[in-house]
Amino acid sequence: MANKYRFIGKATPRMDASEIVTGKARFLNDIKQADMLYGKVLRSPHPPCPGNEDR
Amino acid sequence: MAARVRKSGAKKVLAKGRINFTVNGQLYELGIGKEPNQVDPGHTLAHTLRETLGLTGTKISCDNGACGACTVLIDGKAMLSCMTLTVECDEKKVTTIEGLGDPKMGIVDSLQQSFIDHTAFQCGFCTPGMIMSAKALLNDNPSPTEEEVKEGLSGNFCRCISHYHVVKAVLAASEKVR
Repeated sequence: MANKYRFIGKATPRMDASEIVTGKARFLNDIKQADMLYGKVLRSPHPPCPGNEDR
Repeated sequence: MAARVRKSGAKKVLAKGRINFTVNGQLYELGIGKEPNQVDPGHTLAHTLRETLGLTGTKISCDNGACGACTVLIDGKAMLSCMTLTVECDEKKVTTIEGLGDPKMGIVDSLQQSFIDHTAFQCGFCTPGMIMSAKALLNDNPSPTEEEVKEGLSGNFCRCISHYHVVKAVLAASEKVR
């Protein structure tokens, strides 16, 4: 029965497996662009506090 | 679990104003300073590897020594590169995920192959750290028990919970070594 199907019942290696285990896989933090802007979240040090919105 | 404490050679590096160290077999000599191609005394090894040398295989997640994603080998021992200052690595041999196997020939290490065979990852962000910790474990102890594998990888967190597959992959790789 196993031979009847191409994929069912068989292990299928993930397509990006070799990139992941070699460290070549690109995650968001690994991407660099020219003139890239960096952002950071500024949070209030206090619990919900009117008038403390990001300025 | 990756180590955090080591002897510091930082003073010597600051005195001579440059640092020599080997990464994946390649010798680097970097100046100490604020330029993009230099090492600031405050830079962690993880930062230098990723930003200065462009080796982004080493991941930074917590940047606090808790998650193990940044694990690299320093002189063969698993170390948290986010808790290591680059200036402490003078004359040391650093191995990152990019240094395993033979990337130019497209050959992966038997441990990496085992991770592929067992699909021992989901998103793959923690994988470089997992593999480096496992590599150090197998170097020290070529045929660990399941408990020893778990202990050896206890400093590596995976938020996708692929830990079970990782343990299987490391055990299978250790059997190949045997």
